[in-house]
Amino acid sequence: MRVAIIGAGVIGLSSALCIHEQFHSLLPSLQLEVYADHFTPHTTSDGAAGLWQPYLSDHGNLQETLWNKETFDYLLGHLHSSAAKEMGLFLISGYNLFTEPAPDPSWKNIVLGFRNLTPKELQLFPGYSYGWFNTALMLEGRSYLPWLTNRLTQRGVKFFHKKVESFQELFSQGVDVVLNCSGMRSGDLQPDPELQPGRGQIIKVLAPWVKHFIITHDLKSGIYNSPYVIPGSEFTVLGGIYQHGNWSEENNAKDHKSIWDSCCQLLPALQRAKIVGEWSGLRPARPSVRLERERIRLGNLQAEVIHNYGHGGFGITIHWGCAMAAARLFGSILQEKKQLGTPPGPRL
Amino acid sequence: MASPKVAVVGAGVIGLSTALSITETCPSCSVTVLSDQFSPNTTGDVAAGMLIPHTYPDTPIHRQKQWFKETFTYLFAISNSAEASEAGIHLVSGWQIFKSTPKEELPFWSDIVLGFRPMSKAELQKFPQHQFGHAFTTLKCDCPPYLLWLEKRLKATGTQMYTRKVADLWELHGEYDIVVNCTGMGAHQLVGDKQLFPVRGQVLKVHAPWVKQFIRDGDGLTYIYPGIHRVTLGGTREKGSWSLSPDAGTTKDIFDRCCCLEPSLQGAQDIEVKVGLRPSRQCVRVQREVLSQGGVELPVVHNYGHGAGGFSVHRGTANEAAHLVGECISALQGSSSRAKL
Repeated sequence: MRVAIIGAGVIGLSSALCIHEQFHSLLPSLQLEVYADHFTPHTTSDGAAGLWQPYLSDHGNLQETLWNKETFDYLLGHLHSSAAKEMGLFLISGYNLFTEPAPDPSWKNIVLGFRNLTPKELQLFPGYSYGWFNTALMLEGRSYLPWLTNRLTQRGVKFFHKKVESFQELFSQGVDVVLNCSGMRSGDLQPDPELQPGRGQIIKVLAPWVKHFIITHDLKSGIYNSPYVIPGSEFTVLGGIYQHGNWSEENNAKDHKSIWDSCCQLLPALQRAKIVGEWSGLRPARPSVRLERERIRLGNLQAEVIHNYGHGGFGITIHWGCAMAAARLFGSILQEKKQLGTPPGPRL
Repeated sequence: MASPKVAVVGAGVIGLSTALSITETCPSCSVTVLSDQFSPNTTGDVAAGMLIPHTYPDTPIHRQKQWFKETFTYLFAISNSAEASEAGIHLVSGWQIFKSTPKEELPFWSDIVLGFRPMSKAELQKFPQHQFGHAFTTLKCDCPPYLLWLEKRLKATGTQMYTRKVADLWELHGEYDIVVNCTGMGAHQLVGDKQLFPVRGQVLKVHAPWVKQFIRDGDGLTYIYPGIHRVTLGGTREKGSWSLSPDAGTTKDIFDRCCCLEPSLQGAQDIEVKVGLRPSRQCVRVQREVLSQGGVELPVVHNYGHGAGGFSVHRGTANEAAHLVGECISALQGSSSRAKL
């Protein structure tokens, strides 16, 4: 049973690991192969700061809230393991700031110690009159993806550095199931007008005195179009750009100025911070995550595809819940294949 | 008295902050700092500098609270300004955990730190041996940058600083009008204060930049305090020990206790071991005294004995000491005008 995973970002690698963990002992013939044109540190997941935090509202999409919770609980369970540092996993507390009262988010009971900000705390952030404090997790892609890669390599999963042009290409080579975790470029494999880039740009600085994340919100301009500061283990990420429909992966000078000015206004001490890098990436945005099976007819073959893409700006936040859901879909494929009975042949 | 000459003995966090307070409350004073040690060799340089007060048994609580409040307010303003990183002041959140529920539900400082509340059950799950805890946000004062920042501000006011070992306060008579004694542990010898005793503390300063939260056991012995570049792991409270040499067995013990609370510390690098003697006393001595010898008088303001709580109350006691210096000046001016009659 050959399973090909397209994409080696957080979604592709975690889905591969989840499937291997759950099925390799039940199915000795299981062979996993990861195909990607970009590997860590050049994936979208590597550019993200790595903060676990869903969007403010799930728009009634309870399934996604559940996947977010499963991911948080899974990561929390790993916090005390010896792997935590290698995974790039650690606790972090911080602030979400608003200029007007906002309804509590869907994830208030998932994170630790969620509460409203006190008036004294709000003094830290002139211009913001309302906010939340909570403790969440950081999962840094630059560490997590190599960790996932090592786990997969140990398990005998093969990696192929190549751009897959079509699902058919893989099926014609004898692959039985394809997991489509191609993120932003899913449209190249199968057109999806609902998948659009949510372009982001970030500035990396050295500001080791910053120990909290600070995410501001402008409910009118939309998510991540307002300054944010996220301290990582090696550098601090300054951001606040979300441009729907912009495919450019080039750093933009105007965006740089906007990020720098707005973050320095938020935290004046950042003016002394040393800039060590800059990056632009495309959040694979979709009204909802596409996580479903698709049967593709190729000649007389029934080819199975599991789609797992469109995680926008919350891929790290939701990844494990989606990986488990993808594994369940894979399980159902296996069940069906067994239910097709023994292969046709003469009965003696 | 046109320009009273004030000597501040001691250049640790207490000496420098007291000198600065004096320049603020008495701009006409000429202030000089004299010390045999400067940063990075002061007791405070070893400490983590967390604003979590120590309770002094014999100082009235309202006074301790006032000192803490003034210190917190002062540092809060700096942490919020462009100078925060230069001064080494930053906010940090975390947990204080207890193996058994403490008798005192709320410490006296709970309404001064930010967002103080009991820990939730979910948060306590991280600490299976602990039953209860507090979550809050406070300030951390990284000593080496803070002392450098204080020195810079002092120099800007014209304050002179000299490396000099003062063996006897009377040495300073004639040269200076008022002496301010901020010698910490040194006061044991310098003014013969037998109520002052060392409480030895050993700490590890490690490189573990993924640790963003503080964890402190309510017994005060085990703590993890993330600073700008290093995390301070502690510690010990050895009453009466004068040894400044690091102990290898203690190092291992501290490391093990901290890893128990935060297993990821196993991956910490570049472990540096430091020792400091907390200048401890039943109450902090912030007090005026007029020394007298052979008909000659020397006004002294004492500001020492802050033990485990120096950073937490430094600005408050500095202000009080500066106020006492003001009283000394008035007394001197009063007696000099009487002398003219």
